[in-house]
Amino acid sequence: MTTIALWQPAANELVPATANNALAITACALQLGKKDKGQIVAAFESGHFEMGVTYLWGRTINALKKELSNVGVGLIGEMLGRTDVDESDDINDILTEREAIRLAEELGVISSTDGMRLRHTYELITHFSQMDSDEGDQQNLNQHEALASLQACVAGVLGRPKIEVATKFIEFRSALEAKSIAEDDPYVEMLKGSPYFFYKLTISVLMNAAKKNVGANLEHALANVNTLVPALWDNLRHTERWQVGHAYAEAYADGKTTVVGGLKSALLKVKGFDFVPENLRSDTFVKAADAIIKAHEGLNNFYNEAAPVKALTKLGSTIPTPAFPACLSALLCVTLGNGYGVAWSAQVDANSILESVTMERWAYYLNNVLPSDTRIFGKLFSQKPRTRFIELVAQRNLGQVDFKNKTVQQLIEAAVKSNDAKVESLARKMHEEYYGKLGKA
Amino acid sequence: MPVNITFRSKLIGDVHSFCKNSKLGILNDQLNLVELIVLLSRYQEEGVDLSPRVYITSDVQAMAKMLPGGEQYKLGNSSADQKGIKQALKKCAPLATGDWMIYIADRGEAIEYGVFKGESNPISVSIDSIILSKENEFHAVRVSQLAKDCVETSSSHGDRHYIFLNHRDEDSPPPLQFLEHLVGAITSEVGEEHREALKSYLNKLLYDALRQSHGCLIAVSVNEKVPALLSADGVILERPIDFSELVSEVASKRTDSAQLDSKGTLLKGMLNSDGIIVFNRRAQLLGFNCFVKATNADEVVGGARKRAFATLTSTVGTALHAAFMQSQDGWSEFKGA
Repeated sequence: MTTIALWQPAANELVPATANNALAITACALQLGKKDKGQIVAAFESGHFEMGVTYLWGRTINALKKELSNVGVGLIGEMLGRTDVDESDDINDILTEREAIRLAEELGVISSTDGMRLRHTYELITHFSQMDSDEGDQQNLNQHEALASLQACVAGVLGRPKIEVATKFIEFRSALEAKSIAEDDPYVEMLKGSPYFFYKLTISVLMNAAKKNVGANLEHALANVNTLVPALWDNLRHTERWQVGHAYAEAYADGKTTVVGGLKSALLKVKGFDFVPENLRSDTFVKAADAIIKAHEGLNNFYNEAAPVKALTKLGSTIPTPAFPACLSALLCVTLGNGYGVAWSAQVDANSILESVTMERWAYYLNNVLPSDTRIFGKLFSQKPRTRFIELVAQRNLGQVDFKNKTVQQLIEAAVKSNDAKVESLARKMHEEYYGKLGKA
Repeated sequence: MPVNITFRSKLIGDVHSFCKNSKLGILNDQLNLVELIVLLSRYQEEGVDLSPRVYITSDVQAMAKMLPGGEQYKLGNSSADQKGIKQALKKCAPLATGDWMIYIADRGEAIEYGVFKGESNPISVSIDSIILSKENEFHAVRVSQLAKDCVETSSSHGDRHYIFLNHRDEDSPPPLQFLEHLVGAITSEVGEEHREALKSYLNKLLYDALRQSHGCLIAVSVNEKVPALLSADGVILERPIDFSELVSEVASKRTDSAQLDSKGTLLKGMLNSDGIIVFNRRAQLLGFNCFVKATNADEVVGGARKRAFATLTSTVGTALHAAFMQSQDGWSEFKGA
């Protein structure tokens, strides 16, 4: 049985190997205007590399976000697990730079190699922007790094006349929204044999379609909800189960009778009403968690994380179960930090919430959420967050958890033994299990 | 020897198949349902008329899970017989006003009773469409008074009865029978995106308002404006109340649902005023307290409202898209284009 593999854009050599200076590389940037090209080249030629790269990055990330917005802001919100996003929101308000790169990879807008290079460019910009003025005077982005960044931005994004979502993703989405899939359709079996990312994407596409479609497309979407949700349910993790339950609660509150009928029918088939939130109070916690992620993944995160973490502590110590995955993921971002360190000012509040997380809830997170929490296991590819993860496992005694996921169990056991190399290799294994073999980290 | 003649024996026989199909243990004895029907047909506490909606269910927890954002208060336990039902009603009915309803959970030999409500958002999906559904794993029956001496019973298995405890003909249309037609006419030109939410809201609002009203007339204009035959004598709002817009704003969280509630209160007040309420087909409330001159007074048997309704129906298809009348005792008539 063929499995669905992560989409990749068509390989094109957008920047010839002979282009080895700013003028030659910028000439390939079809999405940049004459003025932009001139300013970037001038900055590079006068040695103002940081200024040039920062300007270039703004143009690159805008182009990427603009393309992602064509997929539909509602769908992007579903993929990010954001309950407060609808089609009228601005993509720039809801998507951080890191999320934009990750989603662009997931939807086949850019290749995983280009994704890795763009992430590296962003790391560079973040690194230099976080230096205090004295340190910044001594350390500079050098020409080699600047040219590599320029190359990454042009080859990955700006060199294409128009960057586009992979055709296969469009086909995948259209199959879920434009026709009703029968239970015995080979597509169902193919989907069941696919990496977990496609389960998650299917649920996101279907819930988004149920929320925004009307008429025939809504009927197809609801018919497919009733075919695919039962087919995938047993293997769905709790985050995605809550997503279905939340869509039901939201449609019920918004008076969408047809949608409620369709989702209710699917939830009855899988006995899934335990995953319908008792109320939408958990949305407040999810929003608070989103604010933490936004601060964590934005520039100057070491200064900006404290306020949203404090805001989360003020919501109360009992996090509602539907919001627990988002909140713990956000708190782990703060605790594990990034390759440069952690926001010390946010640690006390983050720890105060983590102190109150019971062993049952840790087990819930590790077994049901972590295997698809790309943001957190992705952090374990970097040395500093990995070291702090090992400390966290010891501090919270996570080795005592009753494990149901073998890879997670191995990961925690490796952390208990402080086996740094094994923690990294297991994090990469989790990445592969989630995306399939093509989605290299 | 004098012979007592009551509706009781007839009623027991007529609800037999309903009770059997409901699959609820407490209704194995039809007398329990008959008791509830008779009590609800003219229910009063401390001299105040009450018309609570009562749901009998086999699984109150499963029911609550289907109503996110809802609330539930258990008020007591009792025996699963007529005495228990009477007690449940006595304790719960004064509390079951507004959004609150009564539940009776069937637990075999005993019952648990209390009050519950669904999501507070006024545009939320109607509870009946969720609870009274065949595909649910639990069984449920709703019993409620529609008008004085008329009780409706519906079950999750699709059975539905209107029980008249007066001398109405058996083929009389039940009260509020035309409510959905009226809401359909008022929303017929509303965009598809929020039409379901708007219908759900207007159905709930008018269901409550019409049950409390002492009779009313509602006209739906073909055009966006009030037709000439009604505009001469009436209160025409300078700024129509746009229910479609309000529902759309509440659905997209641009405005608080209290805005919609407050406009609903105004409509309820208008329904208690004399004259005709005028909507257009975009769910805009254009005016109220409007009067028409009866054109064919001699041909109509009835009071002023009936004669006005006859005049309105004669213009359906030209100036009006639909006309609706509810008489003082709760019975309604409707004519649509």
